[in-house]
Order: sequence, then C-alpha cells, then structure tokens
Amino acid sequence: MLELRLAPEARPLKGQHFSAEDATANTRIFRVYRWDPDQGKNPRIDSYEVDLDNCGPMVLDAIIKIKNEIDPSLTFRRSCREGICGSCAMNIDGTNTLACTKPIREIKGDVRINPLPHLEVVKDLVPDMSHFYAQYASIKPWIRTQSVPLPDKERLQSHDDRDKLDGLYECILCACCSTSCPSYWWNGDRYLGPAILLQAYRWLVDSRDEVTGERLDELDDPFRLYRCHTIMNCTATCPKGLNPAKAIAETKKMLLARSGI
Amino acid sequence: MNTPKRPMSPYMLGPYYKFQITSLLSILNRLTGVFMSMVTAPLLLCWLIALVSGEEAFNGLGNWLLSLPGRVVVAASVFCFSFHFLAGIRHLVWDAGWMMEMHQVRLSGWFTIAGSMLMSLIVLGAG
Repeated sequence: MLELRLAPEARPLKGQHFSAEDATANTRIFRVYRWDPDQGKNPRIDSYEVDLDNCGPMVLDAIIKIKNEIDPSLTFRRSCREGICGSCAMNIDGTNTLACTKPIREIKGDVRINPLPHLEVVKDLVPDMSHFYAQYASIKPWIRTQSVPLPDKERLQSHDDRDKLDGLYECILCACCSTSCPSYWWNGDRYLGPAILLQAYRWLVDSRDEVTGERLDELDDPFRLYRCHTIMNCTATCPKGLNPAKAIAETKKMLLARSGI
Repeated sequence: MNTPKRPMSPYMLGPYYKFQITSLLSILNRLTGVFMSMVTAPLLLCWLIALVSGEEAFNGLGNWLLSLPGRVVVAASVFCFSFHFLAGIRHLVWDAGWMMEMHQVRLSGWFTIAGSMLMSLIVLGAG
C-alpha cells in the first residue's frame, strides 16, 4: 500500500535537549530519533550538544560518546567500528550509511540521525530486520549443485570466473540500500529489494553454482524482481561503493536472454 | 508485560530521506507521465472531437489554447513530453546495462534536465 505519511502515533515529536557542560566553539548538535517501547508514547527527537574537540571523527564515535557521557539510555547497534559488520547502518543526514565510516565533518549543520527508513522500530535506532533476513534466506544464499564432488577435490574456479564476484561479495547486508529504495518502502512485503537481489545475482554468476535456471525461475516475478524501477537510490547510498542497481539490471538481462528474445 | 505496537521508522522523501538526483528524476518521470495521460492525451482527444464537430467548436478550442490558461497547459504538456521522452531513453540505456555507474547516472540526469528544458524551448519557440 502506498502510504505517504507516518501513522499519527509514529510521528516523531520534539524531545529533550541535553546541553554540553562547557560548550566550546567546536560543539555540534546531534538530533537523534528516540522511541522507548516501555513508555508507549510517540517517538521523539532528542538533541545532544557534543564537543567535537573531545570526540572521535566518525558519527559512531559521537553516539558512543553520547551513550557513555550524556545519556546511557540511547540504544543502537554497533560492533566492528570499521565498516565490515554492517550493524551501525542508520539514516544520517538524510541518507543511509554506516555510522562508523561516516565522518562528522562531511555533514553541514546539525547531525540528524534516524533509524533505517520504513522498518518497525524495536527501540531508538534499532529497527526490526527479521523480514529482511527472511528475504535473504528465501534466495537460498549458498552454493547449490547437482554434480557429485569427488571426495578429495574442491570445486575450483578460474581467475576470470572469480573476478565476476568482485563488487558483489563485498556486500555486508547492512540494508542501507534496500531501506533507501522507495519501491522497497511500499512493496517490501513482496519485492526483494536491492540488497537481496545483489546477493541473488552473486549466486547467479558464481561459476560453481549449478542451479542458475532454478534461481532465475524464483526471481521471475512481477514483485520479487520487477518492482525495481531503476530509481538508483540504492547505488547512490551504498556505504561500500557497490552497485546493486547494476546487479539487478544484469539479472533482468539474464532473464531476457533466457527467454530467447 | 504489554509491549506497544512498534512505530514505523520515518522514511518519506524530503523531510526524512534526502531528495537526490536519483529519486527526484524518478518521481518526475512518473509525474510527467501522469500529467500526459490525465491532461495532454484527453486534450488532444478533445481537439480531434472538436475537429469533427465543425468549425465553431474547432475555433473555440483553438482560441482557448491561445488564452493564458491554454498556453500554460500547452507549455506544461510540451515540457512533460520532452522530459518523459529523454528520461525514457535514459531508462532504455539502463535496461541494456549501460551508464549505471554513479557519475554516469548523475551526468545523464543533468543532461535529461537540461535537454528537456532546451527541447521545450525549441518546440515552444518554433510554435
């Protein structure tokens, strides 16, 4: 369903303001989305003054500082702090990215931080990703074969075939791209979205996988694949510099080639 | 414990998701298409009907098209057609798998904006 506005109870209201104790010239305001399931109230936008002279360079450094020094109730996911785990994916300054690899100095004015768009919020910056992961499982993201391997052999791949996986295997499933896609916002129940389709293509072009036809059958669906309207928000936002839109276009080309046109 | 219903996180283009050339051109392509099917195509149909209804009806519609609201509708139709035409070519190129790197997407996006304005000016200037 095309919903253009948030439900009244989901609209964020103005929240608390936390002033820095000794504000310096290099103080920045962070406006952070908060929702506490125990209060049963609307979400709110709390603002925190952060002294950037005593803070690391990345947005994640600032929100960890907020949690440690200003407001321990602030809830978010983070783990590797170097852009490889995908946990700290959030909407920063109006686009989705990883808080750990987004430098604060790239942002002009107040730093606005929201959870990844159009997902149910568990608490604060933590969205419910179960549907996204279920969609990932639905493409069976592992090598599927029909031939029986010899017990003393691995499945080998030429260098050229291995090169086809570059730009695909780096995806960390942070969901920045899928939740930047307006088509995924409105049809995410049935449309797989850019991240999952990039992963699906990663197995389509893997020379060791032997069920390409079956994988294409599963994708050949007006919703699962063809709700991609080439908006390109996915590629514009990918924090790893990958190109999900191109992977989707290549998948459509594979389906067209198979149909014999 | 009774957990309240989880709210949907904010998502809308504009207030929560920054408008970029990607989503802006996509929504414009949609809107220009809607305008042409809701306004331009019926207008052209009216023109045909006026043509077979006789001189009076045909001249009446012709005069309305020369009035200010008529001119606005014609100019908007020309722009919508120009934009939709160029954006359509851009989509065909993408469907072939070409021009999908971000710098090419931005370049072709600006080309579509500038090209559709130029095309409208040429058509309106000639007409």
